[in-house]
Amino acid sequence: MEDPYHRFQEVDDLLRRALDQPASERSSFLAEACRGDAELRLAVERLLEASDDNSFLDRAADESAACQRAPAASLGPYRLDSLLGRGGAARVFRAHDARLGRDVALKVVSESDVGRSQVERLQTEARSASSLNHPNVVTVYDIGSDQGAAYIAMELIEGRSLAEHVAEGPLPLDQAVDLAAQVARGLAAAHARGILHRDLKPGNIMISDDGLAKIVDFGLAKSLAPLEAETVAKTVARPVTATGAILGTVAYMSPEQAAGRPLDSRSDQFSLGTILYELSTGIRPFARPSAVETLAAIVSDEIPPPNELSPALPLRLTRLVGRCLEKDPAKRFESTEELASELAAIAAELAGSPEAGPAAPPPAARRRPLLRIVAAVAAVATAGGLLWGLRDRVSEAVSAAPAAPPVTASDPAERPAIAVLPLENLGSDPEDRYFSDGVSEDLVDRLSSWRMFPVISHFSSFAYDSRSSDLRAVGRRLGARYLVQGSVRRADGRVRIAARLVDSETGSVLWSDRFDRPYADLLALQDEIGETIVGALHPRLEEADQIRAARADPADLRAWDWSQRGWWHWNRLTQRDTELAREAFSKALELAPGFGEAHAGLALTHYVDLALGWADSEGQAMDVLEEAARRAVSLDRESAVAHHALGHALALRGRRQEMIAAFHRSIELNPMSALVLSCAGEGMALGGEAEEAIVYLERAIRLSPQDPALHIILHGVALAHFAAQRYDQSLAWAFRALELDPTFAWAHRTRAASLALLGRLDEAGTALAEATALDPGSSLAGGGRGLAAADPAVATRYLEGLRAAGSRSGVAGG
Amino acid sequence: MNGTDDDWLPFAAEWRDGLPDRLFDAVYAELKRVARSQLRRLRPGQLMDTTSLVHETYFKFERQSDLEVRSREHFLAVAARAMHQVLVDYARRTHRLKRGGGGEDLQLDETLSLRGIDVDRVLDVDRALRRLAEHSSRQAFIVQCRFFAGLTEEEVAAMLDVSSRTVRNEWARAKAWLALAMRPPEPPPEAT
Repeated sequence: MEDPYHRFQEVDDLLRRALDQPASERSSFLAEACRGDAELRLAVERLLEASDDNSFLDRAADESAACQRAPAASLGPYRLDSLLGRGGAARVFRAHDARLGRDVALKVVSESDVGRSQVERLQTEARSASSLNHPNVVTVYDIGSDQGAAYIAMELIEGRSLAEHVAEGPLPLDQAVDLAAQVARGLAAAHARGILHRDLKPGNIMISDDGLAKIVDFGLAKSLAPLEAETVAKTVARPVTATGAILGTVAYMSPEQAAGRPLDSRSDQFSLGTILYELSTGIRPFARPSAVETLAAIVSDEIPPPNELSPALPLRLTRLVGRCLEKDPAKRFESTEELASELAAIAAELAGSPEAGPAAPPPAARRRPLLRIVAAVAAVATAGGLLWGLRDRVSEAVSAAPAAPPVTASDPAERPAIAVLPLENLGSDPEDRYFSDGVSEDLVDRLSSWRMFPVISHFSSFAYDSRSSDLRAVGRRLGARYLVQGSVRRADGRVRIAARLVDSETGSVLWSDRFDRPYADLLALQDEIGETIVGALHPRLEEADQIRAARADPADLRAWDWSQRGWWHWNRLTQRDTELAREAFSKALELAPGFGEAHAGLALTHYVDLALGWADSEGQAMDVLEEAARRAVSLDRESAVAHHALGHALALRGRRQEMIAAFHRSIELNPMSALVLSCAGEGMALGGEAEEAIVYLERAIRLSPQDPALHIILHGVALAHFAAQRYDQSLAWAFRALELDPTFAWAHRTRAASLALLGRLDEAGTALAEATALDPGSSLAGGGRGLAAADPAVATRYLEGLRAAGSRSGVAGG
Repeated sequence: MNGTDDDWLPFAAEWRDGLPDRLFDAVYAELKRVARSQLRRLRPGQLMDTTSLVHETYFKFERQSDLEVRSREHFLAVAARAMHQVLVDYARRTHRLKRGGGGEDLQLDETLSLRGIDVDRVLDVDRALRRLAEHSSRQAFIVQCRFFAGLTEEEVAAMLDVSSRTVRNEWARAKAWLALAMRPPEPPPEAT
């Protein structure tokens, strides 16, 4: 096709002049100007004609510009500071009242949006609501109008709406009931004055940072009702995805509202019942795929009592919810006061009862406890200037961070995790790949050593592209809320790193920066980046400093470089890579003989050889492994990987107690490394510390859900259950391991031993035969090296099981 | 062919080449975040309010001393570029989602983000704009400000230090060029 931009300058210049002519004279102007150049004339005429096509460009610009002007700097006596949100026809600003020196929430409705009569009704309603003065109702301070807009000044709540809380996960039941009881008190006070809410829903309930529930928009629904109804009518027929906003309101309506009948206070009771049902079961009871269906469900569907969905729910609460949700208003509470006092009594019971568990069984996607997320967000919001991203929020209703509870949850693996996506290598040399991966892995390590958040192992996170635009999906798949992404370039003796920390749930960038440093500063730079990220996520940085594992970095950068190369190869677990890893670690040690982690790396290459049967001489390999591991520990006592290597050496030597001590130490030093956890877990499983092993192994699985050695980790859990004599469990976990790798002979043996001890000898015989077929060289004791450090009682049972299996398979015992 | 209008803005080269710029990154991130939360609150048929997004972002960054906001005009130019990018990112994403890439991630808020933005058009405009920018970065800049960021002719005029009338003329030219480039190819003449 011909180039539309042919002769651009000439054509554009002529077009400019043509446009300056009155429309009627353009044609003659062009004829004159293009004399003899038909092509030029045609081009300009086509453009003039085409410009009519694109009126949508104008529409977008002008509608946007005309009806959505930037807010006037002030309205009445209020200075508008920032937009907190918008709902329906109204916009809510954080504003400042200079007369009283206080900040307010200013709800603004423009006459051009809703019409003059609407605005007047709104003001009348707001006036009656302003007579309410109750701690659980947002106070209306002032009503006025200015510049064609009506405004209502209200109490500014530092906090978030119940809807936002619920979106993040279920609230604990005691907290949920407490909030509902507060809402009921607020409602009761309003009802006593004859004021109805009419649009009670989680989005209209603000929870202040100190836990007070406050109802917003009392009575405003009525004045805006015709508008709502119209919108509902326009959208009811559409599927749920198109009507989410409307559904949000419809789903909490009462049957009489849905049917368009007159309302009284019991309609608000029904809405509260719907909210309570949702809070206590996690299910919005009447939500259906479309607004029409939802309305129909409200009018006629019977719903299961909430304790059918949440069996732990107190009967008294179940009854109360059921009564609120009676279709016939006459069967609900006679007065809202009665409802409020009953709820208060239930709340008091729950507060007194120690086992007030979570209100709803947490669905998988919502397993992170709310408070911890709040803690993390608070941490971010208080961590200083870099984090402007979350400060002075412009548009969300969170205007201040809640006080940060200390992040010291019992199981660190439950906290929102962080994952480092592989930094993109921008260097020209593809060989630099090991370098960028090395920097990324080192970042993982540095983050891990702060022990604040689980750091997803690079094995898992490196499966994802750092440039991936769908971070939310990546975050979910990795089980990590926070993602670090970026790029590395090494050139001309300098290293450039760009990195940013992203909250994958919200997509917001919590921190981002670029660094350009001499290559010699790389180690310090990595520390700085790690520290900044930790700072971004941790409320108390000074504490992080204290608990940070001391690291012994080699003075010589080239040694670090070689050792990174070594780890990179080591992780690939092929025979050739293992040799290359060994060479690289040796080079690192030539340059820096005192580099503990390089000794540990060297040791672990021999361990891989032994574990995978690549060692020329097992005895020699074991000697080198032990010697290098001991050197590593003596040089760098704080290195997790050094103790980890020593643990392997001791396991192979059959020194059980020392092995357990070494693995313990490695986990103490780095509780967040999937590698350390899984190896230590396996060692402990065999060592007879079954329950502890399971804790470590499960954490390893969570940290590295896509670990290439996941089958080995799953098998470790099988061994732990075997040690604890839970053979059905060990069988199940062995199966899970085999699902991932059906050629994993050891897992077949564990399967055989478990089956035999369960008395299923025929199946056990088959399993053992499979193991032997896969790994014919191995003796019956199978993985004999693995059993070397096993608790003698466990090893004996394992061998007994295998012998019993062998008696049915014709496989010779050894 | 390069335009001769390279000095039309003190930061024209920066704008054209999309140089790494902390202010841009920061504004981009903020717009994206605010846009996302705003989109969730939109009603059916409501336009995404890019104008107020850009202006409200300005209120915030004005006070941000560590990022170099040289002037209101400079900021608006950066924000327009960022807004353009945010919209294109949204459009790409929704386009992908619509075509079934990653259906599991098709969440309510993602589908809401379609409201008021004709996704296919955003990508078409973006594509055409890139080519226009090769010939006149100044016209492309005006499109970015007017169409993507919803700035007024007066605001653009202040940024370029020219009259509104000049901006109007140039805007009309840009629209015409874009329209031409976005037209479906004419069917080949029928063989007889």
